[in-house]
Amino acid sequence: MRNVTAHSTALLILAVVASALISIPASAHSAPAAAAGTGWKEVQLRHPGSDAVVLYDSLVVTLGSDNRISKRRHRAVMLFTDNAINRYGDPRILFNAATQDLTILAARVRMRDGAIVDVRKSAINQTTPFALDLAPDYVDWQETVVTHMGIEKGCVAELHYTIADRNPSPYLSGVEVFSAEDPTEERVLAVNLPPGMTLKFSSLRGEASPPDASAAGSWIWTVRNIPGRTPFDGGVWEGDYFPAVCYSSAASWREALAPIADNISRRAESVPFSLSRMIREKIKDCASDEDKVLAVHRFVIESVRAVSTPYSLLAAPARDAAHIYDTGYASALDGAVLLMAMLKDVAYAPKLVLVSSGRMPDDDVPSPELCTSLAIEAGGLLLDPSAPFEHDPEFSLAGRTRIYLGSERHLWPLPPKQIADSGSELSLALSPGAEGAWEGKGKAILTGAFSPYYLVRAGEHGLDDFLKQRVSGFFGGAELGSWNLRRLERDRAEIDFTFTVKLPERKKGERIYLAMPNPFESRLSGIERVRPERSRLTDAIRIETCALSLTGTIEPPAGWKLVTEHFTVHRKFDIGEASAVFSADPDGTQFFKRRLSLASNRVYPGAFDYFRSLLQVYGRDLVVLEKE
Amino acid sequence: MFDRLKCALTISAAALVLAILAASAFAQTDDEIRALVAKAGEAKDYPEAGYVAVFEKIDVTVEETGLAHYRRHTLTKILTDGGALAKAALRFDYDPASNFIDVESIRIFRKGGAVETVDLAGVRDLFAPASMIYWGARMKVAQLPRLAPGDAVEVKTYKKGFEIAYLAEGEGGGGAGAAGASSAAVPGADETTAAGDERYIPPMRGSFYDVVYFQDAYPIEAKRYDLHMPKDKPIRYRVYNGSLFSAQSFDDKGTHYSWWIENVPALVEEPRSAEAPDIVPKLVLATLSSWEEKSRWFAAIHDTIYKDNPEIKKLVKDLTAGLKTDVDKVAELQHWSAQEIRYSGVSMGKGEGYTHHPGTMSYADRCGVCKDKAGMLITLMRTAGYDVWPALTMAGARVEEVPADQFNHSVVAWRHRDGTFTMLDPTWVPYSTELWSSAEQEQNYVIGTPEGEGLMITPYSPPEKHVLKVVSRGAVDKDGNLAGTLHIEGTNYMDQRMRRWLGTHKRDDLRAYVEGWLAAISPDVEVTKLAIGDPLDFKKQFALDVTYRVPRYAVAAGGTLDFASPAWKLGFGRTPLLTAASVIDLEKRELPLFIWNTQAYECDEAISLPAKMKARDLSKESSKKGEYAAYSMERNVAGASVTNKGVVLVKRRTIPAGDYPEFRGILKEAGDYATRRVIFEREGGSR
Repeated sequence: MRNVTAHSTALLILAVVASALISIPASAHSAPAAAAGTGWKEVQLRHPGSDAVVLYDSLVVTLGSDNRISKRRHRAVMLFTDNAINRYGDPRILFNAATQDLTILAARVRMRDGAIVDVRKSAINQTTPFALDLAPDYVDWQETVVTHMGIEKGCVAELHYTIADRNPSPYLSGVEVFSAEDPTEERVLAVNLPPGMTLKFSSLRGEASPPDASAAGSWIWTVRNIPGRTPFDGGVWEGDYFPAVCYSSAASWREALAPIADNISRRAESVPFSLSRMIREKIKDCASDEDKVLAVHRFVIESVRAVSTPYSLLAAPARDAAHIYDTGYASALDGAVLLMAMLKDVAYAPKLVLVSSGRMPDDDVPSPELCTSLAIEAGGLLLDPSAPFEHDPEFSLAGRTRIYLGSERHLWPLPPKQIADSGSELSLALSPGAEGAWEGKGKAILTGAFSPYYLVRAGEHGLDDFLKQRVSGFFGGAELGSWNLRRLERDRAEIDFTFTVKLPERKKGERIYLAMPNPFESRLSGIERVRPERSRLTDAIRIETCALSLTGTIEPPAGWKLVTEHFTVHRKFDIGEASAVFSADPDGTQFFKRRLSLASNRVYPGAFDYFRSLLQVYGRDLVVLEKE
Repeated sequence: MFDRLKCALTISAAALVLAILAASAFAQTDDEIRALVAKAGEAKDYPEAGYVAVFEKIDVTVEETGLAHYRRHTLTKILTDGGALAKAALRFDYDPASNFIDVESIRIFRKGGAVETVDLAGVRDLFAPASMIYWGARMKVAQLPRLAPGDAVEVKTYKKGFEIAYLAEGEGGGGAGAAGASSAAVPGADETTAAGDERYIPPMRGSFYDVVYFQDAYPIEAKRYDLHMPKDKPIRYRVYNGSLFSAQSFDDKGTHYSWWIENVPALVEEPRSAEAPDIVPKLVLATLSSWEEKSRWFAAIHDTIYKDNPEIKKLVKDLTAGLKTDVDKVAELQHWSAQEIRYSGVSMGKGEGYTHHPGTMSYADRCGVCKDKAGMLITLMRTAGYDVWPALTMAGARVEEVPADQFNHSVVAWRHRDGTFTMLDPTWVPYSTELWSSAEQEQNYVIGTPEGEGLMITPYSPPEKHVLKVVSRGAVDKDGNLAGTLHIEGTNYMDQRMRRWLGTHKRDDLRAYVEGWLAAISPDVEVTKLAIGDPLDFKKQFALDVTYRVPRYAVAAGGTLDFASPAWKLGFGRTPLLTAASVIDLEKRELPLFIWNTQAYECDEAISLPAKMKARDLSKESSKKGEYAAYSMERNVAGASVTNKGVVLVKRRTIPAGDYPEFRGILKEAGDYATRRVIFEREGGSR
């Protein structure tokens, strides 16, 4: 982290680029200038196989001497395909019409022949975001759609606008990730502060070069030649694996969080008597504090429709809890406020916790924008206000950081987990049953992230439903027999059960093909996010540090024989280990074993091949029976 | 001039009084409303419904000019907590260029008997959400107080103006241009009223039409539509997809028609069902005497807009240079309109929504909606000397014979010397070698000409014209590893699908996209080589060539190899290549299945095997013919190869619910045969 004190500076770079885009002849070394000339074929040659090339993309964030923030965005993109035209032809600009002024400085297209086509007035249209049409309290957030005119393949679409706050802000902060869907020749982030103010900043993981701070009051990061890639939602924040910068003019986390904490504390102060009565009704039969907290949490989820707001988590202040309930809908922040107010009403002391999107920088840069989710801590639980509480989130959030409002120590990293912390083991013994069926005995041991403790307690029919649903997927359709719960705790469950598999009619010599079941709750490991047919991946995937294992013995039903070839395969890499065995004991008992252990909770693109290879081993699950 | 205005105002005022009287005629007292709410039943009476419409009443009064006054009065009972959240806020769409809406009152009849009046000062007047069509559509949004099961919501609105059928299904209406980046809260109603009624008079002055649906996604206890027409303004009407109660009366002022229905269940939700207009009970009515009249009007309003300019003249000359036949020239001009005018519409002000943009405007903008792409093509073709006319159609649903505007799409008609037409659609043929997309087969349309044309229908296009062919070659070794190639190409509509899938996908994700298709063969597939043709080279056959391998594809055990056809798995494995195979999960349907296009999926495969392998049970052939689907497949061993050949035919794009089980059965049977694993054993080998 570096602290730099300096004076404000004019944003000359934008003026230079704007003029270059339109008037300066092409230059082989200047991205903006390339846009101005007829060199679209040259640009295409520089980026073969690309749909578009972002020639220049800048964001200039300025805290004025009146403490008002303005953000100026300027982007010029050369478009080569219909895919790119669809993505860049009608950009949408989100802004708050009640508190911000949007000014379009330029919206134009430079056609291949050099002709400049400015948009007509009717091509700039304000709309309400789709997600907000039935959320009248949020509709100050509007989108202005700019319909570029003159778009053709090889053109440059340029958009330049400013969003200026009408109200002053106590500080300025932000996060910028330098990743892109299309190759980007030059990306600029400039931050300007009034004279005498200090900017704290940090390059996350140290990958972004230090800024140019030669001009007083101005810090400029320039990143060139960012490769493009299609994002794949693997559940990992981009800032964890692309160059990223966070910055803040706030002196401390306390200063940065104070306005948020104040707003939330006021809004979550109380609920009306009628609602209080309903809350008490909901918890009247709950025996423990934990049950009561979870009952209130369920009540909140049932009481409001979750609205996925297009603006960032903390971009708008929270509404009053009573009003949130009355309106019947809630953003993530409002949902948290409602939950806090309800918990307070029944004498719990909930804490609102911001959760970082990814790993936090080591340095103390108080930038709340590093957080994209929040939770409520109450009764020893960390509750997501908009999702049912089914599993302990300590696991899925491992490696991220909790940020507390209003406490002395704000940042609390959630420690990473070890393989031994979480596992799902399934043991099966399949033997001949009545009428040609297969009788099965099973034992499941689920620990850590996989424990169904909360999930089972939340469901209407508890463990019976849980088991029926999972066993029904065995071998294309099994029926649960009996079950015996040996242990059900927050971090460990042990269940014995029996089941029956009815095999289809087959003639002699015909076969059936059965996939071995996965250990219970395997999806929580994250391996289903992986598409093993893909030859490469450009984004990281979030997985659970854990072990999955399936073991068992097979004795075919009467009249059937096993024809699966015996095999033993094992692979081990830094990221984990996988093995699959199908063999026979000397006494003729056939047994199988599959095991996957994941040593990390992230798969980064560079390790995808290894991970894919592990899954190919773990995926060897076919059992073939032949009618005798 | 003054007299005309005075006369118009008098008629307008009289109509308004009539409308108010009509509205009050069937107004209920609060006690009557409470009784209706009580009678409407509880959640248990409407499984899966969150709320029920106790009644929905629409009372319409039409003036001589065609200006219509709509009074809507609805009462909705909340049945569940989910229904309460769904009705927490109400949205009322309107199009300031063609209609105006006033939310007159909203009241909550609480379960306990109290009545709350919602303060309408809080109603927000906003720009509507929009995508691809940016004509300034607006909406009013009202927040209701917290609702609970047993409560009922009564809403009264007044709307005047006309609906552009093109937008009537919820896309919002057009407006005169942009609002720019101004504040969201706009007091639209007052401003709109002050602008006068002229803009609300339908462009085909004096005419009136409506299409009213009597079933919705929620149950309806009673729905009623009342229509008051001036004397001497007759209407044509007909009820489709069911029946309605009706009544008619008249006096010296005009005629009063009523249609109503009772106890309508919620429309079931089924994937890929036919469009609601083809399913739900509907009333279609119009004052027009014939489609020919509409045709002449549509031609007349476009009389002067297809003028060219020197740049367009040069473009046409360049595009058609060296081309010898008319079809080649027209195809080239259509390709330009299809590919170069991207789909994104902004308002041109007056006439937006129902008239094409001038060709010169679209040429400069390089964007527009279907009508503007059509207008561009007409301009290009007229410049090239062709006799071309604008046309209207309804993509995805029927147009009934009553001449009410039921169109959602605008296209082009090329008239030949013998008076016949060739239909063209630049919106639906990007990446296509077809002049008219076969996803628009058996589709109604009306061409606008000075002479007047009737309602017509595009011809059926059989599946044999739309073949997606997979040529598969490969080898399975003794350990079961498969190495193979696939060559995939299409004809006509399936050629277009191939070009679009692969030509519009993000390039750096294209390999992953194709790998996703091949996952249907095996999730362990490894694509080793990929070659994709140029999707915009319409002179060459477009094709995808893939080289791939799959470790342990075949079960290799006990001296046997056991595997299924990769090419057939590609078709039946939930890829887009044979859509019909992916839409038959439901055992039976209540609604027709609609899959847009007919198709043939053809397989030509040869997979070589290690020497001396013999098929245990080849099941050499299988076939079945039905009215909606058919297949014919054969499997053979020739030398050391197993071959799979055959075709699946999807013969209709709409499969009636009653015929769906047979359609599904044929496709299931085809899939079972096609993807059955065949066991090969070594001659003389162990078993």
